[in-house]
Amino acid sequence: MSHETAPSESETGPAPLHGLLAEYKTPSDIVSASRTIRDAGFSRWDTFTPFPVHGIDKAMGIRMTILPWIVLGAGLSGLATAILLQWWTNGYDYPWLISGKPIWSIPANVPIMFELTVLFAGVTTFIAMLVLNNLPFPSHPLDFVRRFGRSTDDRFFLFIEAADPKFDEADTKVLIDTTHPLAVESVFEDRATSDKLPTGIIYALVIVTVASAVPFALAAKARYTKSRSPRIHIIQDMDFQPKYKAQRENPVFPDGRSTRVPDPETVAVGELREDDHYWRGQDHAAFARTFPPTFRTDEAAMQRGQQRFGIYCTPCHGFGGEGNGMVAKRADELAQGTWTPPSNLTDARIRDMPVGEIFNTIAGRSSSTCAPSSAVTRRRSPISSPPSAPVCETTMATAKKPKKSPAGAKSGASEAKHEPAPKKSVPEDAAARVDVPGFSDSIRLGNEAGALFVKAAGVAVICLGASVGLGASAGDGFRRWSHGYLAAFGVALAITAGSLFWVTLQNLVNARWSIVVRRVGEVFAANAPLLGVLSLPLVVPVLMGQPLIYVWADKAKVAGDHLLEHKAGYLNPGFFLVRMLVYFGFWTWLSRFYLGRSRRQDETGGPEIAPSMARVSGPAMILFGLTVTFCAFDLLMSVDPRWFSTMFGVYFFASCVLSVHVTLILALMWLQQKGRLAKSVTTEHYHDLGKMLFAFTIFWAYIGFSQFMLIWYANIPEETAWFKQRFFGGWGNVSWTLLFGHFVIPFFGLLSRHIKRNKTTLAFWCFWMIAMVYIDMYWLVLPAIDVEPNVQLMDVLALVGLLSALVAGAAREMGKKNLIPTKDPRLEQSLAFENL
Amino acid sequence: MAAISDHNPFVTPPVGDNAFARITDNVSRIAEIERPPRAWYIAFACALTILTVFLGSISWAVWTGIGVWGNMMPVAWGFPIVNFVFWIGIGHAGTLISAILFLLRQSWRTAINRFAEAMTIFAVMCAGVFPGIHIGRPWLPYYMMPIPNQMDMWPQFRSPLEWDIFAVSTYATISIVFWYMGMIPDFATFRDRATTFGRRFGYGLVAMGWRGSSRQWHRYERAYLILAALATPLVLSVHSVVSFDFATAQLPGWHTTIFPPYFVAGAIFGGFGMVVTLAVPARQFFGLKRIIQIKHLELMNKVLIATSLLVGYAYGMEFFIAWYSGNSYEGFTFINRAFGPYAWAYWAMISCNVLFPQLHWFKAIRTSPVATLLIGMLINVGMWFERFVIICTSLARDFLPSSWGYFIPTKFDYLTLGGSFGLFFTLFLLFCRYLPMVAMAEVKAFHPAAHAHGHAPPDGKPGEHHAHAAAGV
Repeated sequence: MSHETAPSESETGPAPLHGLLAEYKTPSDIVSASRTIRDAGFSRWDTFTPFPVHGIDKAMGIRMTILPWIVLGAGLSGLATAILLQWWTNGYDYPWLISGKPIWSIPANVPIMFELTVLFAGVTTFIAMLVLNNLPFPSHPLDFVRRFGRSTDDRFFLFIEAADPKFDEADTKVLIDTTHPLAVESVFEDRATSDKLPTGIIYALVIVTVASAVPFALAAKARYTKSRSPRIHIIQDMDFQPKYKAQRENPVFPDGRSTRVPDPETVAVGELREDDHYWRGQDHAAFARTFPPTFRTDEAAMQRGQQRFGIYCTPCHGFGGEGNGMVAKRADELAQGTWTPPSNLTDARIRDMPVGEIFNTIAGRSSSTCAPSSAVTRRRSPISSPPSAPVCETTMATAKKPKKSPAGAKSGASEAKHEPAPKKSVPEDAAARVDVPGFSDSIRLGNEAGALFVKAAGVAVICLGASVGLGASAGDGFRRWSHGYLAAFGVALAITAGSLFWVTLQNLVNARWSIVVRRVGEVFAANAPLLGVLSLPLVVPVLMGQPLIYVWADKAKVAGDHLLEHKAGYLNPGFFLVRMLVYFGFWTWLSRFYLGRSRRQDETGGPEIAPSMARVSGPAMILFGLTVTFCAFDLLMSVDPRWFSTMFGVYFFASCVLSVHVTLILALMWLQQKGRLAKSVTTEHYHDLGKMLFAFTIFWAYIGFSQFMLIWYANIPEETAWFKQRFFGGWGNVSWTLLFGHFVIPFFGLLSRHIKRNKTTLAFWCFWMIAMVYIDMYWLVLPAIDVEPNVQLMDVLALVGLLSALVAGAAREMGKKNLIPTKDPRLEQSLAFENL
Repeated sequence: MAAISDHNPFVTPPVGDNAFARITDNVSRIAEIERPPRAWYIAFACALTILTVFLGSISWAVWTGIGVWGNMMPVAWGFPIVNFVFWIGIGHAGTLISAILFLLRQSWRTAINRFAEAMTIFAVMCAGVFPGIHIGRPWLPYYMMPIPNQMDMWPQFRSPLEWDIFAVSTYATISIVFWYMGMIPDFATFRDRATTFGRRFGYGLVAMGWRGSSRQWHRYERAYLILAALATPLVLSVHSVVSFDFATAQLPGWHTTIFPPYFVAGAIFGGFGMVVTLAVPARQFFGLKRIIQIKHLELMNKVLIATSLLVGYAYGMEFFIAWYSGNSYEGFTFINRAFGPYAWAYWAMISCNVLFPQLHWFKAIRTSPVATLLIGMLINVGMWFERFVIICTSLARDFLPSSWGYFIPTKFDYLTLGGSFGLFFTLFLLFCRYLPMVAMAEVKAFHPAAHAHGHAPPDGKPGEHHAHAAAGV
């Protein structure tokens, strides 16, 4: 590299024109100039800006890049690579049994599947961006225009290539002048920079390439040739250690051996073993005919002997002791001369043998070949073990316990259970129109609310009544009904608690985009007291000591059950009642606080109101986190009071967040169908809510997988018992349904922004997800009573009834006031909100 | 293909006259000045010294074997794994800021994202050192990669430690790609302002011919968004996988299902602690007070409160379930943590992680740079102790009292831990000196003057949203 190639235009004559460059001062200028050039029909032109200017894509007519599709492809190939790699290496090429799991067991392979998916997708994103952008692009004629240096600083440039079919130097210049540039400049072809790589660099590349192949060539040569010299020890790697190996020569001792024989008469501490009768079966130099007095021949000893016999003797001697064990039979088949057949233990010779001699034989000290202590342990011990101990303490491969099948789920058609959302549109209620400065929209529900309330409340009463009726007819004292009701209640709780969380979060982070949606969230959160009332069918039986669902409610069942007694300090009817009062009391207060403040804001528009809501939201979030966690423990986890998981609160929380987004999206769609909020809520808001729905679908999977995988992996019986109920038989199918229906299918379904921005598809996925939340709750609760999944009409009626009750509650609140906080200072930004 | 142009048409860098130019100037100057501030030299000298200690202690550990450390049964993991988890966690805040806050449209992140990303990469490098040596033969780590060989010897893909290899190396790769890609437009700015051939060639090489074409920006923005969307679950997965190292075991105190999200929250918490620890001196010494404002410190302190509470929640849940489960080993472990031989570490953890950060509820404290720095440092200490408590208390007191022990670190443990900060700070100071410390293009894009159309606020009167985003003027 030298300065020989420095520019010297004069030597090469005038360079041909490359194009026209115009400079602009502001982003607005460049955007409007781009529109002009685009409309004039140019094709080979570009703009250059120091940062991505918002809206210029549209102004220039840039089409959406195909990059996302490339990335999707790369991600899928990463996933496929991970699956194949792990299956081939650990499951096929060299099958490897790990902690008793099946050779190919998916849960433990998921982390690497995920990592490789992200690795492939991420690296591809970067490379594809470079390739599509034609980078690296080292030299460009524009580099020689002095003013163009500011394109990466503070100025905005537009460049039209002379090669454009519409280009005409004079005309184009006139056209550019109409866009008010700061300056226009002709750019000439670059003749100064050579197109060829300098020869020095080429030589260097060749040399480096050849040199870098040398080590590999040497390694390859070493692999296929032989050498008498020892291998080179670059790294010592513990190959030479200052220690003596057993069979090596050792100059320290006169006999030259490393292995030392203990001095004669040496006895290790505690191993003197003077009692000949006990240790060697000998009494006065003859084999004893009686058991030693220190050995107790009782039932336990007999059983242990039988067990030891089963383990160590039957392989050769057979179960009947007739010398026809499996090993003996096999040896006979092979007809090997070295084999000494095992003796028949029923022979008179053996039966008449002194006890001491038999013991001595088993202990491997006699001339007889019976030597489990050598054959089994390959260890010839000078002293035998006492008869009460196993002949040898070999750790036998412990029989594997039957263990959970690889986790998962199976795809299955899942019937989406639809919320009873009224669909028919009615003419707009003119009286509901309220104007907001700068824009107008219908923001009151008016009479619609009353109609909806009547309908929803009617459905709720009828469905719940019918459900109770069916429950009573089951004749089990409402046990089965209670479980179904609890599953449905889980969904209602998720919606309500989720709404409260969402509202708290929006206040906490001072969210702007969501102001137009906030009131709907507040209204659904305000169902908390209603939900408290609806929890009575669950709470009252507990107070009455009836274990309809919760075994721990019954004092008689707790007594004598170690675990339940241990937990009785927490799981008892009195404390349960106190906690439920705290949960629902706090939620009621908080939701009323938000709704009340928010409505006061509508009236007074006081600037202090939004900050006051924000201030409460911090501590409120802490209390919310605790209440929702313990509520999930109390209502859902304690259905099986023996099972526990620290993650359970978070697992339920994931359902809460999913449910609230479903609720918000569907409620807004319904309102818009009725002509309300038609202009306030835009595709952008749906898109954002959809993104959260998507994100929390993944979050649920993350939490659910982590909880399952950790328990599956560690395989501790007290934890796996809970999953065992849910991973076999019909419940296993439900688990597969959850894996695919709650994660895999909606993941791909909600991935595209087009789906999130289309109301029909988004609504479809909302119904899908709320159905999945219900299946999840059903899967949490019902295995406690149904051995196989058994959906009954009363379960579905309870769900429809509870959801209708929530809709009725929301309708009642909505009817009263505005549907958006009309005087929130951030409203304008929410109305104007746009996604990237 | 054209060769790289060594032609420099500029005598002096172009001098702008508007808000964008001021942002460029503010940031670029740091990397362009002949001599950085004296504080930089002092800091660099200290960092290099500590780095030397680090290299020395590592070399000694490699030369003699890891017996120089205090790791001894039953606490075989000791400092190296504590440090590994600690450093990996530090890195997570960088990804959180660059990716998650990007997805959440938190435009204030532009003030701090670049150096938070740098912090991520350097922290991951520090983290990688420890397990690399802890394996005992640091020249054989390729055994952990699936390299075909004549022995048919494959890695054990169902081991959480193997997952770690993949998670951490993926994380390092994606973080570097994300960081580098974010810097390309800023490298181009440096290139265009360069006054010497060396700078022009060097920055020109890494800018890869970026000229800010709108067609390129379009793909670039899309790629950035996708990388952010990929990095978000990735960052969750990395610390979750780290937590699997513990939670898949049956050891009391380790086998807890809440570990994955709890570790992630803790990592973000610790990482943000490190971000504020670095941000306060950086804005002081490099004159970045107009870009990294008090407002940004305050927001980060709020994130610290939130993550501190999440960590506190996990501590509480562990304790509650340890009792609720009725498992006497679990129960003992937690009582032992709080009142056993390691109680000092436990209470150091609780006070640094749960108690002190609550001071940020007071506005006066969370807007004070000094208090921010002090509490940030306390959080670093607390998060280190968290990993120490998890690893050492559980290993030192397992099921059988006969196998109980007590971990005593040696001086090499301390030297290696302390020395790793030398590596981190050396890299960080070099980054501050030579690379664009603030994402100029992004800061400009969020500047009020950058809004070209549509619902743009009236001239000269940026809306609150924009003023919020504004930095650097």
